[in-house]
Amino acid sequence: MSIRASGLQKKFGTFTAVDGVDLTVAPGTIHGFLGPNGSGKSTTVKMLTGLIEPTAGTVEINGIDLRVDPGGVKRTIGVLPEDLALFDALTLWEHLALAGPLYGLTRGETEERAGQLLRYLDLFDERHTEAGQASYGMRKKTALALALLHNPKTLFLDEPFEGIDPSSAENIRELLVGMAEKGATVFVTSHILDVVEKLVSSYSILAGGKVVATGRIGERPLKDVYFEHIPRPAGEEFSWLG
Amino acid sequence: MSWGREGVPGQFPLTRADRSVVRAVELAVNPLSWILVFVTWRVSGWGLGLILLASVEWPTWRRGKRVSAGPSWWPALLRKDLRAAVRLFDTALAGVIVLMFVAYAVREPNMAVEAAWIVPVVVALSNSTIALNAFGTDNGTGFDRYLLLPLTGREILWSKTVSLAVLVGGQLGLVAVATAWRLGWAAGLVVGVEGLSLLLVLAGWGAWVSVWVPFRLKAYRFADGGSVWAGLVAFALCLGPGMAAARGDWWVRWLVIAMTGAVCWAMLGLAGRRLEVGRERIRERLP
Repeated sequence: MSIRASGLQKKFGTFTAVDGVDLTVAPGTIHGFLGPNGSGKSTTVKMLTGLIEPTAGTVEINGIDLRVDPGGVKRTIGVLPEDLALFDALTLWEHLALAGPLYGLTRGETEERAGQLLRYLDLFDERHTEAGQASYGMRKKTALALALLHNPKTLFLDEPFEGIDPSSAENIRELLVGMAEKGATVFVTSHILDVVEKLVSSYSILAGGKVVATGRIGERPLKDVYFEHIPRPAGEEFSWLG
Repeated sequence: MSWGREGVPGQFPLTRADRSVVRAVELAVNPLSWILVFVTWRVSGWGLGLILLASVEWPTWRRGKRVSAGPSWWPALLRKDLRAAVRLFDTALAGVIVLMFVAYAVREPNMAVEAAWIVPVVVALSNSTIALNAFGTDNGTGFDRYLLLPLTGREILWSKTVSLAVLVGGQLGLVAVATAWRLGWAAGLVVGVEGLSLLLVLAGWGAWVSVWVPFRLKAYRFADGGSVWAGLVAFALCLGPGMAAARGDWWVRWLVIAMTGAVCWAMLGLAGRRLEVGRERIRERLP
């Protein structure tokens, strides 16, 4: 399995953000991790990628135990985190130039891949902008390019389409589908059900820190399953609006 | 009492020493002096930082395209840390002090050797802001990137130490060269040894404090917070080994280097482990 998490739990003081999550994602799968705001999606991704330590439970990525060999896991995964994790004082290009050698790429390979990725994401002309001066969309594309640069076996993408222009979003979607066809695993969190339904092959729905539903696309409409488990807030009469 | 008794302090005509004091006070209270100091500080501090930065950037400029970071990964981190450092007023102040000392060494044939001993301590303390807050300029998001990269805690702190060594080593190197030029190579070497011991003290203690009490720094500001006790310990640590290296015999100097080097090595290892284990707590303190 590419991703195997068992009994994953995270407590912040007395608050339990994630409560006993079990996940299994097979290689070559695009898996959607869905849920409302505050349901624990980003916290789960942080635990799966080693950004934070689980209070309880185990994580195995690409057959490597995260607790035993965190460096080994990090070399095989690419991550687009919630906060994008960029250095304000480095340019967009320098981020890629920094990451390439760390993953064993030569300078030539790094420059070739970085150039290709930035052109594909329509970012090449802005590559010398410092991250601290770049727009949110530019920062997000850079973080995505960083996640892809070393051709990871497993990708973790936290809200990859939020704040991205439509043409770049379409390019990203095609790229992810292509990667999965070649055997890579993509783990995507998102709020946008329509986008997820077109992209993923399997999904889990998280509510209150617990997985409340899992399934495969095509079995039932995703919206039906989602709203079955995540009720919409009650309707209000907005007579004063409009 | 009679007027005009040459050589009696506090009476007219003033002695040479009295006149020097009056001139110094006049200079100190003159607003123009302060404006001049401010401008010099901003220009020279950044100038020195930019020289250091240029020396790191030069290999990529020389290739005609300012893009690649070379075959290894640390030059990019070094570049980032230097860029952030030259935007801090504390570092800029250290740059001004260094340039003032160089000017003093060039202009004053009878330069006091004590000045060459004390200036490295002052420069080191001024740079302690970046040493004690290694992740202060990265903020939380930059810290997350460190955690996502396949680096151990020790490797991360080593990259910070390299940045500190280039920045502070560059400044202290100038002090040592100016001292050697005015007082001879032996005096310059003493300052060099003193500078090295200060650098090791700052790197070791800084790594420890950076992971125990991390504090966010703001560009174009003096550090306005952080741990007071950590700063006081840094002061004591710099003053002790710094003065011992400056004033002791040669065997004392080598002993100081060996001890500070060993402590620095151990602290980097311990702090690196602490960084891995306590990463969440550090992240919380770097919004």
